[in-house]
Amino acid sequence: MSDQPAMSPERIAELFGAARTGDGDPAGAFDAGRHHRPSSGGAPRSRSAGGATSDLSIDETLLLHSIGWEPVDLVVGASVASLPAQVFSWTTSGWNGPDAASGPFTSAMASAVARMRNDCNSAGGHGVIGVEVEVAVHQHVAEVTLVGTAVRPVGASGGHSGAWMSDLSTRDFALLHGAGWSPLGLAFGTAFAQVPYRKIGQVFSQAGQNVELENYTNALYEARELGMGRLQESAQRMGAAGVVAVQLVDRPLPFASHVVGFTCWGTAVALTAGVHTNLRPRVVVSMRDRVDRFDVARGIGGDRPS
Amino acid sequence: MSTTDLPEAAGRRLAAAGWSAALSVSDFAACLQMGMRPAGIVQGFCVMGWQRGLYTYGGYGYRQLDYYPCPHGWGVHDPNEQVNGANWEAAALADVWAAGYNAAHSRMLEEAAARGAHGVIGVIDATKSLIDEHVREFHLVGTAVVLEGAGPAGPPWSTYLAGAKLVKLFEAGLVPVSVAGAYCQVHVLASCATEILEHGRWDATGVVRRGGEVVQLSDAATQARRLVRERLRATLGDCSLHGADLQVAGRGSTHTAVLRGTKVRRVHDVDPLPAPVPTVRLS
Repeated sequence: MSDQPAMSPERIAELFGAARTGDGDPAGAFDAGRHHRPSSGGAPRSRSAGGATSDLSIDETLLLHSIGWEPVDLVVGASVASLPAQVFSWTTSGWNGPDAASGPFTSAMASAVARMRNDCNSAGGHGVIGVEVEVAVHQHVAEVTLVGTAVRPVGASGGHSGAWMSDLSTRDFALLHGAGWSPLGLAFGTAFAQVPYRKIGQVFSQAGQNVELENYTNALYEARELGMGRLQESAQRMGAAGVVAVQLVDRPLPFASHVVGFTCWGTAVALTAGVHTNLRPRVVVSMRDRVDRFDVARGIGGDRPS
Repeated sequence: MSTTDLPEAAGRRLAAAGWSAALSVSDFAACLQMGMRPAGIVQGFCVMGWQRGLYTYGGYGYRQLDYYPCPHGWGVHDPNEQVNGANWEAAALADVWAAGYNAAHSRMLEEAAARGAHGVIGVIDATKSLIDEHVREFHLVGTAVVLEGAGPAGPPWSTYLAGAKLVKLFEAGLVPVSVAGAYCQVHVLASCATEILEHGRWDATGVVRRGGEVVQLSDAATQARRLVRERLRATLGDCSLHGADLQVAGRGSTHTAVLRGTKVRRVHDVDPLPAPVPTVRLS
């Protein structure tokens, strides 16, 4: 085994000889003269303003490159939808019910996806991978936030209006790609069900008993089945064969204990290569010991934005 | 780069014969393997006032992004009427953030240059509030390294990466230029329609109907994230941002976004790696 460093002086000269450093500040100062000037729209989108921004790790960048794709930009989309009046109120039973919230919630997801797709198109991406989906339901509004990485085949130019979205990681995208499948978009389904009143006889017979609370069981069934059905319908509308990596979110609504909310999403996929390719993974035995690491950042106490 | 204005305490430590490295043992081993010799922990910090300014929108330090007129037509004759809404960027805070970050960064590089280092690796951003929310310390810490066999050091480069990740960056034909960051805070001055929709109020006129998108809030959440990206992109020149980390706090009326990453430059093209072989590990 050689005790020479892996990078020779020649290699270092090759890497750093051509590189210029120290060119400008690392954080952009703002032009004070623009503080009061209203702008006509949101953020300017100019590709010539600078290079690409990518939130991929170097491993992910190399993996993406190995299957012929490259990251283009960090892209975002967010939407807030107003929920119908009194949707989570007890008095709604028999009126429109809490499931009236699922329509605006679904349209918030659609709007966030549309904003992200515009962002991806103007960045020149063909699709978005690694979409981080954040959803929240409040008493009067539902929020959806999406952040992902726009990608395109290496050397391809220009976006196209039908850019796809996927919450798959780079690794999962590479595996899917290798098997001949393509992501088509984010499938989404949500449903809200009201837990029905128990009859007075049930209340007395169940008091102090560890028995099944059928009203809750039934409400959960209703919400989950309805939500998953909507997820599948949204995938079918995209022409997908199915949905992979489905995430199910079952959060209690702190402001409405009588409502069961259910949300799920995943990546709608279709077989685009004509035939599925079996990946045939190789079995390996790792010889590496577990390595203890520690996180210096936590030791020093860096914080989050406030 | 001048080293004459380094504080006396820093100069004394940097002039000492020993060195210290803020690297884990595996990152330290990778550093030596690459032909980099640790020259010492270097840091830069800068304590700044952190005032949002007057909470009257339109006051100094705010920049208007978008305007949301009252849909009832109540505010047509008076654009300052409260029924009209606007999204504002706290641009002065972005300036303070950039000034503090740049100062901390240049002081860290100054220490690295004083040790004759070529670059700073494994930079940690330990920026935090001091004493109270109106005082903020910008603090960057890293390990200065000397490239063995390379000529005299020029202006040092810096990167958040260290260890195997840095090795792979070099292998991918990229070299670090500097750490980079940007800050953006967007405030929502709600229009009457946004107020009604966000808080579930009743609009007696029937003009604002619940159940649709709250466009002003959707725009604010999107703008905060896009503006921070644009601001950082403006510093990139012909470089790219690698390993971007976007952190966002807040919802509703205030959105704060911070984006950090390493500015990298491609020095030569590389062929793609062979297609990956999927494996199943037996443990």
